[in-house]
Amino acid sequence: MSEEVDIDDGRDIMSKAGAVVAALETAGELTAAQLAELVDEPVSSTYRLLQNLATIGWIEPGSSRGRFRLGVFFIRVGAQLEDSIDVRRAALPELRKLRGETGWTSFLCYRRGRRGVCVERIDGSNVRSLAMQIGDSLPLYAGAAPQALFAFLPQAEQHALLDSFQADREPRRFPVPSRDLLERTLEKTRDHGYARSVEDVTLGIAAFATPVFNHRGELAAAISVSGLANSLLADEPRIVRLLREAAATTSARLGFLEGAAVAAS
Amino acid sequence: MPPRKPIRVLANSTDIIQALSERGSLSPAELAEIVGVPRPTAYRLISGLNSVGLTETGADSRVSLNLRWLHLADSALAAMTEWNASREILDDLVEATEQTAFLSVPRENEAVCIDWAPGRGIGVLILKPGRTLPYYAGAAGRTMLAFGQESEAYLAKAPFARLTPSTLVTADELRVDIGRTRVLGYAFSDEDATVGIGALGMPIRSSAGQLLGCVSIGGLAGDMHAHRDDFLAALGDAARRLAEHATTQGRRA
Repeated sequence: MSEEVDIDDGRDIMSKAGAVVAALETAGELTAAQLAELVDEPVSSTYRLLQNLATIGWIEPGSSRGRFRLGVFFIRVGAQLEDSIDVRRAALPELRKLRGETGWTSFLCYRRGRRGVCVERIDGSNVRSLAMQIGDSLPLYAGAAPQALFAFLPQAEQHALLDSFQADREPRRFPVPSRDLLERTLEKTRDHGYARSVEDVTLGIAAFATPVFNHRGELAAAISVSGLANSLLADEPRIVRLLREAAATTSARLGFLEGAAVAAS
Repeated sequence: MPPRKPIRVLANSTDIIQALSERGSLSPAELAEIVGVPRPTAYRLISGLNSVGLTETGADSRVSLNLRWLHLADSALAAMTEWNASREILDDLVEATEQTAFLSVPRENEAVCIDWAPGRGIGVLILKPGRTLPYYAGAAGRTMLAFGQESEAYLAKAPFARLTPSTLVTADELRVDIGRTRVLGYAFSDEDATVGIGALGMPIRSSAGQLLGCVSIGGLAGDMHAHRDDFLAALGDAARRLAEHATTQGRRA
């Protein structure tokens, strides 16, 4: 009976509220008259809608009289959602799939300061490389996943790290490459969209890695596959395609929008 | 008066969004129970929210927030142009104090954090963009209680829930605190929101004296005691710069 009226009413109001939200999302701030035009409603009923939206906290007064913007409610809900997103959980199904489709070991790495740290690893069936167990780390210039993390950092951070590696003269297990070589490697990695490491960490082992981005286009992690160098290199195009898919799916689960600007660029 | 029904639809939708943000994905039946509406109504509300891209129904027919909320939150923050110099000012504050720095704004009897810069030693996580403190606890909350307009109306709701053994919960305790905060010009939170953590907060006010927000720093309670004077000087500088920027931005717009 009156339920039917309620339905149409409710849907109608929600679609108008959605239109107001979308308009403010793009424009930042708008006047009631501008919103009325975008929602395609008379100014008087738009005012009523805006009053309602202000009451529930969806919008708030803007920087000057008569202008509106999205309310703090959106900041609160978005922050809670962001807190609940777990990069590892987002990547895990993709790591399993990579392991399943390539037979090699797949990894998830985060950047921690000057190093890439392995936070997840699904072992392959053929070879078990001893490098990069969960919790292990490598300097950002060594290995595919660390190099992917290095290459897709924002430029300022990347330059600061390059300086700090060059300034560092103490002997290391993995010697720091010359700045020139390192810069070329990073550039190649950015151009190709994936990092490539052939026997630079473990003899006979190669790895490829792709970067994962969050909703702001910031670098969140790197996904990699490692295995016997000869077999891996022979299958490079297919493995890289699978890695790209894995990184894209994981990034999308973090809210990354395809085509959005990447923070590193 | 605005019509009743739309408000209810919007209020119920807001409840759904709130529940999903707190508890992750939920089934329509669970949502109906939480919001207190019949199931058919819950289905209609969900389909309305889905159609405007605020929620989505998965293959398992559970409902969750659309990832677009991450972008909506960033848009909402960016639209607060009066604070668009905050990052630099908070970074300077961290540089000077090594503590975690926060910018919060007053909304609905809560201090809502809209920006922060993590400290050098420990990051204080009780506030973060999008997180809130009630007016009766923490430096940001109590700064707003002391320098806001409606402290008596708020105190009528006392006693409040105790967060730590040091939380001020009665109207009388808070009245004394408001008086002291006004005289000193800052609020000192000594483990009243989190055990072991202290904070200092100062109001950001327009030239007319209206409360616009609060800038605060948090860290180990011992550090707050030991370096209070230096910290207050840095905080005062940040509050002045934020107020200047907020008022000039407001005029320009």
